[in-house]
Amino acid sequence: MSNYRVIFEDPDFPEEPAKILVPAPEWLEQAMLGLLAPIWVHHQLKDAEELAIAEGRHTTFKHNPEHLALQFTAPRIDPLTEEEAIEYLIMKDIPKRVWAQQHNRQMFKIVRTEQVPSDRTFRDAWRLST
Amino acid sequence: MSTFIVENLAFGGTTAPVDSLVKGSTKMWAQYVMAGTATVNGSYNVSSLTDLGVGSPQLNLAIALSTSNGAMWNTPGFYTGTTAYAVQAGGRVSSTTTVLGYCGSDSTTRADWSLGSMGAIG
Repeated sequence: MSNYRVIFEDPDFPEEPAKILVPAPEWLEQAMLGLLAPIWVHHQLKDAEELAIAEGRHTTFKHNPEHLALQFTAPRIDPLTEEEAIEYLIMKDIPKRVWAQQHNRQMFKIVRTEQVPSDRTFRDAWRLST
Repeated sequence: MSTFIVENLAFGGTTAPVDSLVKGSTKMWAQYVMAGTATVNGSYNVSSLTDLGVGSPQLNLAIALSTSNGAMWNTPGFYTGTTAYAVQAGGRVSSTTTVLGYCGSDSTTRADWSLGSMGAIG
């Protein structure tokens, strides 16, 4: 289990509650063993799919097989520490608009797992504190 | 990485096209917790879970699917604590890298299950 969580808000949906990214233990193990493809492999796939969504052809969209195969065939990156793996995961699983653009306030924060409240009574009202 | 290119597999007198294995096998699964602090207990081809809010887990895939037209399932292990009873559940493959779960209660509201399972095929 990871010691970290990533709390983030989506600037395109400011009315939505803060979201929490939870790393999967098996993936984290792979990251620390050096079994991951370079991050650009995932970005290439995401960019192609986002373009299809923007052009209204998502239901018929199919990834380029060569780009898809790179997930398995691209040379693996070096083993990552847990902290580096979290940074990789942010770039892979959180929308680019959250972490790659400048905003007038912080849009994400890496926290220790125990810092995330376990009382979810008002979960849908959670915001990212600055 | 090596790739075997074959059309059929045979075992015990039964032959099946490899296509059925590729398209017919589970592409991802996860057992997750949404109550308290959201957690992934165990998974296959999942890099993370995004807790989007009450009863709204999103699983992020480690390896992308070729299309987003797959099928999925989302079932409660425990609704709350160790209580297990029939509740409403749903979800969808929302993109080639994300599978959304909708975790319901026995009414029309969403709920944070104590234990849930999700998987996708396609």
